Amino acid sequence: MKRLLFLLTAVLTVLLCPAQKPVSASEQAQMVRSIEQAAAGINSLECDFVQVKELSLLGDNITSRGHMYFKKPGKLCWQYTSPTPFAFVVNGDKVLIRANGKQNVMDAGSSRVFQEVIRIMMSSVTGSCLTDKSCFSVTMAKDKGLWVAKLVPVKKELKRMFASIVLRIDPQRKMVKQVTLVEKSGDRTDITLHNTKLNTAINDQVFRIH
Amino acid sequence: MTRYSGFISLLLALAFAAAAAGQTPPDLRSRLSAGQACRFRSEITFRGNELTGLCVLRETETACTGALVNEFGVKALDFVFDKRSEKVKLHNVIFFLDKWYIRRVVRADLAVMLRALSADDAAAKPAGKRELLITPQGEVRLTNLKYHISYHLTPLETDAVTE
Repeated sequence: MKRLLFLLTAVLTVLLCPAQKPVSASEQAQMVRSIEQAAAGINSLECDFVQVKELSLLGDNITSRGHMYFKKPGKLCWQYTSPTPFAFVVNGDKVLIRANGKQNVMDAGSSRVFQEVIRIMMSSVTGSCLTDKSCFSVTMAKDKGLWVAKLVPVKKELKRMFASIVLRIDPQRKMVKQVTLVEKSGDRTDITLHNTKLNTAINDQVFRIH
Repeated sequence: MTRYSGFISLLLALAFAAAAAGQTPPDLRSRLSAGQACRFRSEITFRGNELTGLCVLRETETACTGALVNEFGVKALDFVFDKRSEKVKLHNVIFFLDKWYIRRVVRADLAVMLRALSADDAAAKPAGKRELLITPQGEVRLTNLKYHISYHLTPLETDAVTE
């Protein structure tokens, strides 16, 4: 009897709780336009993030935390504080990777994959990637009060790494709250942004590459 | 007898040195045996290039399963070490490592490392042109001398990665 009740509850939950609702083409265009307008108004962005990497083969997750800075044009600093300190800094055409007490400076144009990954990182935090038709095909939906943008890579370099990228966007502030990277193996990385501050003064020292 | 005792001592010392690539420290061994996921900071160096990230290992009775991911969570590869056959199978290898000649070397190197980590006794000197060291703190350093690849795993504190 208990098992039957449990099963019934589970079935009703699935049926009654709305899954993601796809939107019409015109509504999608409107949503993308409003996100694009909001992204155009973002000159700087700073936030904390929590990253959860799912490892399905192991039945385990890895949780990382850090802080992110973004400043137009072309400056990004992605700093992990746990489990290990790691920094990834983009400043124009230079990239700095700092790990294990060592640092490495590279040319952002040194590989096409590298260029595309940097481009996604910069554009996904503001949502400006939604209009980049050369990189992604985009489908919009609504889910639990958020706008959900599913981006499927078009370019070969990104297609080899990701099956899709999903952005969850706050419809009031038109800001990205979560980025999910779905790999071809099915494993996901969820990056949730917290304490987001827009258009505050960010010291350029943060993006300094020696 | 005394004439040969020095020679015998030297032989014994060499034998122990060869055998002592190191032993998995007891706390790491017990966590692995208990089926807990053990996390390491990983560094793989090859001809001046470096891949850093995290390595997660989990042991069962018959196998040791693991994954190598970079700091952004992008996975380099999954691996499964069969304790019985002492062989490694690679899965979901990222495209730039997914070449047969790279897979072959990585498989063999990981097999040496995992054989040592899953052993209860001190690891024997690895076959082929490799050097293996396991420190009492649980750091693992494997160097493939033929291809100049080095793998360095440093255990992370268990509470450094949990919510």
